[in-house]
Amino acid sequence: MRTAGVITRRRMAVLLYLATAALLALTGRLAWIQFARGAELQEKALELRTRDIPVEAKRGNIYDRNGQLLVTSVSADSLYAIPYLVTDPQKVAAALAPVLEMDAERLQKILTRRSCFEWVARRLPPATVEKIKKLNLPGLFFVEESIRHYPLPTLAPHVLGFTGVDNQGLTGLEKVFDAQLRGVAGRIVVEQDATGRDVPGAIHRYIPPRSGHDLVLTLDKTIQQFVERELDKIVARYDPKLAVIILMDPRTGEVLAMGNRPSFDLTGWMTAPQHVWDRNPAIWYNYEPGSTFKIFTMAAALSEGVTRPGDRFYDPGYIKVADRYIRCWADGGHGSQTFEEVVMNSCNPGFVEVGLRLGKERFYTYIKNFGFGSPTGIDLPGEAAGILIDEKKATNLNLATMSIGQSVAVTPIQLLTATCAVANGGVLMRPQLVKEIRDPAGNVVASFQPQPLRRVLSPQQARQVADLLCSVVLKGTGRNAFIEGYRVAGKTGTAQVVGEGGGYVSGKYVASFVGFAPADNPRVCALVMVAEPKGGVYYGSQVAAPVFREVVRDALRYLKVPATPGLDKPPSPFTYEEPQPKVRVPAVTNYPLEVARKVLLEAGLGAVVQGEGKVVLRQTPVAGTEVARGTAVVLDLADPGVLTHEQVVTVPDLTGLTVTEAAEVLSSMGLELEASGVGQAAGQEPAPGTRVPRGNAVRVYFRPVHSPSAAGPAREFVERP
Amino acid sequence: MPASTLGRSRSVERKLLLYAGAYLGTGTAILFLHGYGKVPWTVLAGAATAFLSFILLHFFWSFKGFGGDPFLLPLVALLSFTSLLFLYRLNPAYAVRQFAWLLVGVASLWAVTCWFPRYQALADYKYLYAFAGAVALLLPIFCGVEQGGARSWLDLGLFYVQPSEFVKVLLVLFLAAYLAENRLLLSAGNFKVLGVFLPSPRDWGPMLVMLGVSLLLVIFQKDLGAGLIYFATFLAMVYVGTARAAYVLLGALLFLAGAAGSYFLFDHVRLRVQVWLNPWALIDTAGYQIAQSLFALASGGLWGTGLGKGMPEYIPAVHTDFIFAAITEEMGLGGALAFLVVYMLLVYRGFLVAVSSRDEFGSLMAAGLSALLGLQALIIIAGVSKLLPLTGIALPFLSYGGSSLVANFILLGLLLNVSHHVCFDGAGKEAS
Repeated sequence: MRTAGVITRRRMAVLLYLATAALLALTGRLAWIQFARGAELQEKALELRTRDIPVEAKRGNIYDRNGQLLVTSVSADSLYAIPYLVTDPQKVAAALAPVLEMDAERLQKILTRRSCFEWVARRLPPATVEKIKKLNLPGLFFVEESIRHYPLPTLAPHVLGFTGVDNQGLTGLEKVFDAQLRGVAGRIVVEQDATGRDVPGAIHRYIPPRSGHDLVLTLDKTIQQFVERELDKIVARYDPKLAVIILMDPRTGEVLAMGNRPSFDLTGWMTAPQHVWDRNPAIWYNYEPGSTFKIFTMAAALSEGVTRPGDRFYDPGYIKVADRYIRCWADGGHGSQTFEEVVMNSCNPGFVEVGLRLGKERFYTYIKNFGFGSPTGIDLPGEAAGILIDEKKATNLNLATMSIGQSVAVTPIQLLTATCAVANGGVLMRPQLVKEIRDPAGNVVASFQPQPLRRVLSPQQARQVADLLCSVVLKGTGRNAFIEGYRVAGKTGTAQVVGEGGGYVSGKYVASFVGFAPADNPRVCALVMVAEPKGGVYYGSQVAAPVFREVVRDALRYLKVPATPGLDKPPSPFTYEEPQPKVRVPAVTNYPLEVARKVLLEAGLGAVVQGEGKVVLRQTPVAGTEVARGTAVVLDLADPGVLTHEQVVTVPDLTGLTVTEAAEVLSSMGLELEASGVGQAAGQEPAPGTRVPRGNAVRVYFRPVHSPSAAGPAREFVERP
Repeated sequence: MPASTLGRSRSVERKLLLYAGAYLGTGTAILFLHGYGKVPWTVLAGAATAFLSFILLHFFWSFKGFGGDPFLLPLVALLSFTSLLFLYRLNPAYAVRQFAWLLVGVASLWAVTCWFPRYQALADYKYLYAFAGAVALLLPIFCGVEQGGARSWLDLGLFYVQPSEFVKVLLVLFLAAYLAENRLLLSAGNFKVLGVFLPSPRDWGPMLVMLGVSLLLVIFQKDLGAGLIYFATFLAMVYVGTARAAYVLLGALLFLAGAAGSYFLFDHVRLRVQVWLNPWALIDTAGYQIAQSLFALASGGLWGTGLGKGMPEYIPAVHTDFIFAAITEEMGLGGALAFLVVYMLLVYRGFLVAVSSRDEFGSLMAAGLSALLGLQALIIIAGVSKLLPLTGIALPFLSYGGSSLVANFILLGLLLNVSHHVCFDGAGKEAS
């Protein structure tokens, strides 16, 4: 063993050195962990052991200009669980399930998750919260969250906008000022505990959120209510495609009210069609302004001195520009008249003449200065810019038609903002919706001053234009907008709707009125626009001007603007007696009531219903009778029971209907459609009035529509008051 | 001379055991005052019983004139007491079971030193060890239960047994016997591979077969820790037996090749390596344990949070593989170093026995057992501190687990038997 012992000893020494090296390595490693990385690791450990759950802040309120509450947030408690503190998940789940109307099994799954925090139910109604609190269950806690609440959910919904599931602003001011309204989220901090034992000094802390700021708008709740009321009346009377009313304070550019139809309910926006809530027509809808645009032609012409109010014009009923005839709305023309009369009569040839005198460059300079062709910069998402023909490409014909408000598209807010510049003495203001942002304590965080953009007219020129517009209301086409006790300035407009093909669509108009009052010191500037009114009346003077009168009169009285007694009154309300074309009564027998109403309305006729039911049994006068436009047709309704059992039906007259409409009418009567051709129904077999068994097919021949652009001149330039 | 040396060494043992007892008493008092557990008086009784079992063994040895190394028992007592204290602090139920196993362990130690003092006879049964080891490893594959991802336990009704813990000892016995018999042949080498003289496969064969079988079996059990221990112990013993560093080098290369192979073959190995390289990327899943272990190590500081004041419960399996992290958190770097030194002393005393032993079997066995003990401690502590990829191994005498504890007591008994013979054969003085 001596020799072997020596060898072994050396080998054992080598192993021992290795062991010592390992010992030193381990020591070094431990020291490194503790001293070099100790702080970092401990920080990491804390981070890992705690969990942050964000708690959304209470969203700020929205007030009108007088501090009236428009939108607020109400508290709603949300329930969360800290699973390891839930001692008996099965029992808790069973107790909670009926109160929350949730599946007990699903609840139990949530309560037994290996986590330190779980939402159980968000934003519960107070009654449910009370019930759960009474159950006194361990491991369950409440935290305050909020839901948007609208005291008047149908008031200015397009302007205010609404919020999504996480209380984030989705549209309108809620979207634009989301950052200010949202506030700073709070937190629930929970320390993880892997074993379920109480951690020494365990954290379960609630860091409250900071509420969002409040918005104070320029809107006036009362005036907005006037607007909503008038819009409802418009819908009841004309069932238009769109209707917009905007009121502004011309001195500051503050928007006092802005309403649209169709509209929606802020609390139930999800049930409204998307096209209704995702766009605000007041700032987005591009339309041909028609005569209302003449305000700016007139302003440019007077400023540039190309005409004076006393200058004489002669209107033979048309004016020839290039090779086209532009007709006046009045048959036979207005004859010899002063410029003031041109304005009062809204005479097309007169304005075309003035526009041509101005020339392209000056005309474009003015309308661009008035803000046309670019967004106004209002604090709302989705604003359109309007459409101007490229100045370089514009022809004399374009210039002529633009002078009377055609071949140009504007948005309602653009037109009104430009009119405000005329009203306030010539300065274009940026339309403003928000006056102030306040913190929850009521301190003003930011306040927005009126923002003049540029001077467009001199005060004298502006006054001259305003005086002419007063004449329009006092003596001209705008008489229906006259308000007792106030000098009102304004202009009517009736433009045809431009179809997709570029030509005008017959029977579809945009009726509008824009104006301000009192003319000498305007407090309110308003626009009423009704797109595609039904029922045969479509003139701005008849559809829009009375609405303007109602809403502006109420606004002025509400604003306590003193009335001036003894002002001139218009001799009589303006009624334009168009040579009333006789209308042929369409056949609506056997039509469902809705369809019958629609058909009659489109033909310019009213409907009076007699009896109960859904289908028209008889009509008076009968189809084919020539009656005056606006006459009401009496509809006798069938007893639906009789009709559904009846096996033989009367074939309706389908003339003029589209394929879809014809199919709708026929299928509602249990008949089949056999269509041939495209366009509008021009002939059918069997003939209207034939009695056929239910289930039979009706062959209908469709022919392309004779649109004005296809048949006659490209555009029929007819401007009406 | 043996008698006087003996008398003196046994009195050293007694004195050291009393220190260990005082240490246990202090720890128990801290836990008692801290209010852990529900029946503190039984805890005090348990602590007293644990201490008594050691001191009784000591008195038995003194009475019988046992000449085993006097430092080993007190060192192991220190570790065992620490184990009881920490397990009680983590979960009293573990401490109760560990206490029972400790008594079984001490009894095994008594049995080994009392009934098999003539360890030389053990050399004759080397193939029996090989066979028994293979069977023991094979059993869990067919009728074992899986725990913590490794299928290496046998369900014996009352308790689980992990055969691989015992196979470690069997492997050392087999290797020691085989190497002692064929040492000269193996160290000479008679044919050349890659510029290294290697002995003929006939001489290698049985040893490699035994090793291969055991490695394969632990691979099947997914028990990477045991595989690593087997291989490292094998290399250490081959080196001690043959003094050929080239073998060790070759073995290390083989090992690296095997490790690389299993990295590409086995998902669980790949995952271990990924976790080792960056546990933070997998913090929610596979990296959670090691991350928590590092947090525990880091929060200890120099002197620790104090017994019962830390939060080692966050570490999954803290009572078994990760007990060192708990100890470091609550006893600090100072405490951790103390235990490293305790293991170092155990290895050192073991190597001294190996050096002093007069026969080759005893010498190789002592070296192998000491290496086995040291390697277990090294590998798991390196794993816990993320110095090496983590492989599940019990920390000898400290981790919770009956099989490991009893196997390590048997190991201790065998080591003491060798040292007993060193003492009585007068081959050398201890601690030279």
